[in-house]
Amino acid sequence: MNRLQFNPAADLFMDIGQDSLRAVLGRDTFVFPIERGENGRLTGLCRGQLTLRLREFLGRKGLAPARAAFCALGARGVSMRRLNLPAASEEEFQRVLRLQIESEFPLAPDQLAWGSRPAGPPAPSPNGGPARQEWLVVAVKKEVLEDYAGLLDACGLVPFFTLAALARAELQPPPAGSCAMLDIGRAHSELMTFDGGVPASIRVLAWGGDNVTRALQEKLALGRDEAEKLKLTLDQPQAASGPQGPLLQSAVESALAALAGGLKPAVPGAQLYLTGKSARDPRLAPLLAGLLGGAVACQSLPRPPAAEPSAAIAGLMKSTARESASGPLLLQSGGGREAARLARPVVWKWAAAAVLLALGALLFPYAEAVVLKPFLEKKLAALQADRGRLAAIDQELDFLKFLKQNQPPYLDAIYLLARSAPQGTRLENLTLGRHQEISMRLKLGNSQQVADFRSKLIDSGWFANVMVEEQTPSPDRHVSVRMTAALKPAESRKPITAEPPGKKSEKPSPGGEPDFSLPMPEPVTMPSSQPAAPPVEAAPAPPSNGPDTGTPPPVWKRVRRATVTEP
Amino acid sequence: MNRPITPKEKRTIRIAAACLAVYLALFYGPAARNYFAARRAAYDKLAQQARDLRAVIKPYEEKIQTATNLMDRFRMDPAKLNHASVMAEASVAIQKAAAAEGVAVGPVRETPGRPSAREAGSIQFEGTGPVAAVMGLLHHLDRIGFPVIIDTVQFNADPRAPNGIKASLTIVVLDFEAWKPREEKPHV
Repeated sequence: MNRLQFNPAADLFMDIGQDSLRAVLGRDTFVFPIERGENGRLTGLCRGQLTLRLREFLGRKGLAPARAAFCALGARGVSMRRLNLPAASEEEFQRVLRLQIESEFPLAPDQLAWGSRPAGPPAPSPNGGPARQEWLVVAVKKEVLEDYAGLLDACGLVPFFTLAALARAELQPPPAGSCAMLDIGRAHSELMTFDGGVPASIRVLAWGGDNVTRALQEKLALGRDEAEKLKLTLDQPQAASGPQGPLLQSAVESALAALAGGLKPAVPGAQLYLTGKSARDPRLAPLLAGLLGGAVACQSLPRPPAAEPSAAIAGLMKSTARESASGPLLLQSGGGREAARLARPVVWKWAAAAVLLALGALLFPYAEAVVLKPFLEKKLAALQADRGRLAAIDQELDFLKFLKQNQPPYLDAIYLLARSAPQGTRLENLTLGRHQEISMRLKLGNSQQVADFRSKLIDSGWFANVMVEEQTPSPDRHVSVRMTAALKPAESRKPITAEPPGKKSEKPSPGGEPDFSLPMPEPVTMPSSQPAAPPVEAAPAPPSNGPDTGTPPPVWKRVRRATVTEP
Repeated sequence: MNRPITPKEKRTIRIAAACLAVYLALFYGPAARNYFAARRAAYDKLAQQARDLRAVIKPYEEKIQTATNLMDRFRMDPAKLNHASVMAEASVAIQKAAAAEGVAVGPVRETPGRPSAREAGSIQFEGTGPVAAVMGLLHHLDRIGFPVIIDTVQFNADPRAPNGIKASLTIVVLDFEAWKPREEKPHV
């Protein structure tokens, strides 16, 4: 049998009796009255309520780490045998033990849960065969065990079962001779006998604390509740000194007489240990010893601490805390070859969680495709619908670019002409074309001015092929000139630089106009068919229509300020 | 009243469920995997299409910005131009602009455009007025809300107005329809 390690502070200790379930977890205790059916098993209602209450007590939810529950079962339905088995290997021993159980116990091994432990050292066989060893075997119906195991499993506990009488025996190790241990319960008592320090038999007696209560009722003519209260005070010294002392003594004696009658044939040795709540009465042990004829010495075991509500739990704690080699006898289905099998539910849960996690990780990429595909399709359809507009955008952009690139810079060219013309120039005709050709007819003062004008046009960096097609002296001592030129391509033109304000300005701005940053060009005269006309100033600038995006400073404002004078 | 399930029965059910799961995984797992893999492949294809489309569309953000700036400059939306009436509307707009600038409108002649040059037509406009008014008209002609290009400009002295000049403009009105792709017509 495997030695199991328990942690008294973290594990749960339980005493599952006939009438109640007591549990201890650390310093907390839990008591729940049990209702059983006719078959001795828990009723459905009791199971449900017990599960809920136990969960509340444990404060446990979900897949929290499993907590071991060490449970002491009452003796009802338990069979105990001492079997003499040959020494063998572990597997062979289990097979032989199973055969022995099949022959010794009233139920088949498949219907039983059992536990075993050596009851003595191996002894050589008298006929020279293999050594034999006596084993203590305790068995219980498997369905009883599975009933409790299912309940505790639902609470997230991993149960380990043993016999309560064996646990109580841990409190007072039996001497080498014969002795017995009696645990007095409410309605029943459990008697376990020992032979040579090894459990020999176990019995359930139909006598308990209720018998004392009934005796008190009869002797003192009390109600049940009063008799119960009085019974609970019997362990106090002043209870025997009152006026009711003799009556109490008589009542307890009468109740114990029935117990002694049942014990006489069963108690083999000279020592009887008493446990249980009723055994706290100090008069009980000597009275019982007297009723047994004085041959048996009765002794109440010390009362367990307050945190340990029963002797079985105190024995469980003691046996599990002790670093002994054997440890407690565990009752397990199939003989307990697999102690960890009862812990399987927890393993199952973790395995299921791991499988779910693995499946989730595996399916996540596919889930993305399944879940997000409809959204992506919608978005893609919208984008495809918008794609048709791209061609329209291209067309509009090409059209607008063409329009922009084919806007001739007439105003810039006129501005440069006006700036290059010398004083007194008369412009008779000016023609500009989209294809960069310029022709003009004008009158200048002399041939030197013609040369200067031509040089300035070339120096401006905007004009190429400046040709004086015809230069003729006129009767008014001027020179009539017909010139042609070509605008350079846009990328070859020099940027029009802004001249310092007032450099060539000879007149203030007319009409109080704002002073533009570019200088006033030279006055240009425009001839007319009428010989005499006063010089005319350009009109004030028209109101601007807002910023001109993508164009140089408004040249038209500079140009229109050029004076046009007539001769 | 239903009988509660014993732990042994629970264990049997669990083992049966596990066996069933293994059976389903073995016999239907590959088919399910193929199904989901196909769905995944289709999704990846769609995602790639979306990425490609995004790459195609991204340069258009800049193009749209440029087009918007140009439309603001010319005060015109090419998509709203009416091919049938663009000449008439442009002529009216030119005359209105001239009048607004103070240029006296003279003879106006319209001639149909050359389809090869993607023109809707051309307008021969003559007007007289002060130099500033004529320059203002030149400046504002590209903002009348129609696609016009001044083809030629000719200035002469105005014999009737001492401080005015006579301007002759040849204005080309572009045809936006000519920028649209033409449908291929069958040769027969």
